[in-house]
Amino acid sequence: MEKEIISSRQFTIITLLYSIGTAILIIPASIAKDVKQDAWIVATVGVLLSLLLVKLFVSLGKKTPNLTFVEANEKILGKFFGKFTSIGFIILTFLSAGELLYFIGIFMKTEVMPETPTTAFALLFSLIIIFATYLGIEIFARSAEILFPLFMFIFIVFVVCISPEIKIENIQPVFEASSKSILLSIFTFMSIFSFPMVVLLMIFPSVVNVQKSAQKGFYIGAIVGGIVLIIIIALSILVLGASNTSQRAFPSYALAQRISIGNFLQRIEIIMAFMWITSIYIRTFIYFYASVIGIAQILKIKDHRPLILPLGMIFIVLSQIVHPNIVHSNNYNKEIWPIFSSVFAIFLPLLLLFVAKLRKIKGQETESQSKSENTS
Amino acid sequence: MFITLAILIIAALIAYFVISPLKKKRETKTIVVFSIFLVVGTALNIALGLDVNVPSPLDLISLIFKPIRELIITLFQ
Repeated sequence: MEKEIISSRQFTIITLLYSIGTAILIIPASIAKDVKQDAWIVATVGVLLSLLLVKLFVSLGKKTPNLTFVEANEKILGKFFGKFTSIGFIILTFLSAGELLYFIGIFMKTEVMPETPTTAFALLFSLIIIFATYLGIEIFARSAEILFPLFMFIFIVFVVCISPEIKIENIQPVFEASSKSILLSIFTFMSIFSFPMVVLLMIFPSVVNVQKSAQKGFYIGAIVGGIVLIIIIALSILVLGASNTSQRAFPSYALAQRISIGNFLQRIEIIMAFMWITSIYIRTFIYFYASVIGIAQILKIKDHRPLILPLGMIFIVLSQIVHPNIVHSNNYNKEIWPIFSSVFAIFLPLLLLFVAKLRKIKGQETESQSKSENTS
Repeated sequence: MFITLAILIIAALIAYFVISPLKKKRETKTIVVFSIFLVVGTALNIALGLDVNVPSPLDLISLIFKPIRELIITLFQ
């Protein structure tokens, strides 16, 4: 199997859309519950703190410039412990992939087609994901490049169309929430926005062609994705109001339903839904791809392609059994997911960096090899 | 019954089209891993088709991380 390479610009776009992911749909409700009208402050601080996390991922990527996260685990922690942490990481990605597939189903069912069972959406959407995984990361990166301008165009139209509805008194009084609830909300926000970025380490150093600009791309993607989220959260609160935002399952969709320009341009929310479907597609693909590649690398299988279809079958079932209902899903996202993901997004990279420093593993000797490979 | 049959046919087709090229390359490890995943996937799909109540894997995760969460909350107060 030849090595696949993506450009750093494609990596930036993937990072951007990946970080937006499901956050664009569920974050406004979950943090408006806790901090009411100060949610936009939480989002701003959360994005700034996320840059520290990106710095951690980038410095870990520098240590192992042509290994994926799973291989880096085995190299740094040794065979036995590396396998152990890798399996935990794969469980995280695979369960999250199933969760997102459930998510797209429940979103379409509650908002667009109430009569259709979620299994139908899961089947159709998973076919796209499985097909994309079969074609590989290069083709996926190009598709992300095509989808990105559309995404941005729709986002700008969305912001412009909703701006007449803004009522500035909705964010007053500012800083009403207690400091403790703000801290907890920042943690919740980061757990959905930036903790999942650890999965990008599966593609970040190893398949990107230019390391230096890709590192910059990681930061740029995180910042722009964060700005998009801050705007969405601020708009939800400005237009719907804090209490209304916190009661909705999908506040940003309710926001799109409010668009009405001169009683003529209205009911365009389903066009806006293209945004969410795009970002969820990117995130689901990365999760699923990371799981497949990771399983192949743990078991030392050269070609991962035979594993895609059986894992895809498990993936479809998983989407139907992870959450019996939306209440279960909300509780899990609020209570368990932040802790579960922080183990793999904060503690594991820190541990890897620490052990790599102790064992004096540097990326220098491998980098010269990869350079000669790229030129040949 | 019909769903079970359909899933079994799909699984058999997948197995046929994937295993035969792998046999030519003599990759036994891949075949073994592939078969395990396929059996698990087929079993789960049939269980889903027959409306069997499969427990959510997230409940197991919740079981592990709930004590940690409660510990953190008590530390914060």
